[in-house]
Amino acid sequence: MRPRFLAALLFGAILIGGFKPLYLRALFGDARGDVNRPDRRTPDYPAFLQEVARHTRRGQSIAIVAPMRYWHSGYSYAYYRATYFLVGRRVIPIVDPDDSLHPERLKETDLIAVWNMPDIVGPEVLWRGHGGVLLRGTR
Amino acid sequence: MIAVLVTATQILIAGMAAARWLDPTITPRRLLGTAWLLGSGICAFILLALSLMGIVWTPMSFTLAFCVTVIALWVRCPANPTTALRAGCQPPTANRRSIAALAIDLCTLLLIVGHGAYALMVRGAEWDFWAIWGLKARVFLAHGGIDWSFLENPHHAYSHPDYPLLLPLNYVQVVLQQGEWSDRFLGLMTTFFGAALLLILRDLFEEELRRPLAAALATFAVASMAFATVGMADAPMIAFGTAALLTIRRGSLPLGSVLLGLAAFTKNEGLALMVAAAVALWAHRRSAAFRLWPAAAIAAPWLIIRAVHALPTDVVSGNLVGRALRSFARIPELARVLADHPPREPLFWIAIAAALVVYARQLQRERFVLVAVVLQLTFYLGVYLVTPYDIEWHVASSWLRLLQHVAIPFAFVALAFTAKAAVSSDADVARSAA
Repeated sequence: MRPRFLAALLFGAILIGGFKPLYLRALFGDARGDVNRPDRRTPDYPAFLQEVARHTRRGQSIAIVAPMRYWHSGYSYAYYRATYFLVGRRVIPIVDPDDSLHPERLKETDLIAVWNMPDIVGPEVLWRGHGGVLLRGTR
Repeated sequence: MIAVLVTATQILIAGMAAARWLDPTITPRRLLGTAWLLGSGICAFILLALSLMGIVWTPMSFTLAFCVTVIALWVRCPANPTTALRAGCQPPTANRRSIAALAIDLCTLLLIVGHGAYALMVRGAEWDFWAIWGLKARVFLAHGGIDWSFLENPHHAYSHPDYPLLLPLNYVQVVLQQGEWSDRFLGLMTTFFGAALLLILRDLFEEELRRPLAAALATFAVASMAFATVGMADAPMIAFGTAALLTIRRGSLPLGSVLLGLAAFTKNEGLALMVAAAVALWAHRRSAAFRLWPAAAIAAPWLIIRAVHALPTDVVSGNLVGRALRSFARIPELARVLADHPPREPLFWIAIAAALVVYARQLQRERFVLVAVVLQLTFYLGVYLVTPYDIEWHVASSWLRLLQHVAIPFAFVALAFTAKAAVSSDADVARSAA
């Protein structure tokens, strides 16, 4: 093979191989299918947290109660998503990274945000919606 | 959108002075790209300094500190940098116009705009954005400075408290301008970092290949690789790391070492790159390695701060020695897992590997860049071997992103070899073949 042809071939292969059509699709087509949706299995949860943020004040402590029992298989998502939306509040987890459950923390918080667990009841319901309920804590 | 544009203008104003000061011979496109990179670092350090001094972040406090810094930088920068340009550092093709090159450059611009459109679509959807980079920015803004209690809280380990803060502080700067938190336009920062790197690469390719069309094609070839996941720190890491290596390669050590330091202030992988570059430079030219001291000086503040606050680094937590002793036994497992996660761009990597084999006799000329990126990859593989996590999960969640950190330096070398061979005269080819 002629050296110049081989060089051009390799140059062209790098050019074609490195090209990502995604960015042109975003401009001229539909790239929505390529966007990660972190809440695809829990579409109501961000809206619930936004409402909780609207119904609470900065500095208040809020415990997060969600149906995910284990840290790495779901509760960490619930807790971190809450930390993002409830910024300025003290978000309290009731499951630790070692999967230990800490219901006693519910007694130490100003508010309890319960999502997707209709069986949980509290002394005073402050707001209800998007699959969850905001309860006044017992502190 | 206006807040992002105001931030971008601030970053460029700060960066222009620093870029002209560090490299008076800098060419216009490289100046613009480098200005973005340096400016983002300067603005992040302004916010870090304000927080360490106990001054609450407000648009006013930031603007005052910004103005003082920028005036100081502009006073230091050379009054007439074009003198240096005239002295012979201008690219040889600077005055040659090529319609074909312009057309290819427009295609690259289209990719940049396309990435911008994609970034606006993604918003804050990426897990690592809302759990690490964006989360820190949002928490710090609410606090009015760096919230050490948040970083020290063991429940926030997932947000990687030890990660350097350049990108979260850049987000803080945008949101300070817009008044309230919104992640709608923050993804554009990823686009700007990619675009900055492409501007730098365009001039470096032209300097290397001396033909505008070949330089435009080579830039287009790596354009997609300059962009990484929206909202995360990989795009800034790619931009700082690649620009640093290629700037050092062309002999601009002061500027290259500052970019290297900013890579270390962006991601922990930047620290690894700093070491890799120092070793590669030591192997190449020992005395020059000491001239990388600005990189260490830029990386040092965050290293000291995170040590003072005892912010944990997950990969070295637990029984690191025990894991290191077992690491050799894990090599086959790592090889199997890596084989299960091949690059998303197989043709790109195969062609680069083939180019390096075909032009193996010329590799010696590029040993600084090649040694640095190979060492960097070795560090990444070493971390997988001592990881406290499940190796399969760790590789699956990071390998392809990390591979992209070294993609453009590898591609730069391969494209330079192949482009030079493809456009060289028949006499050169005959000489090369002989």
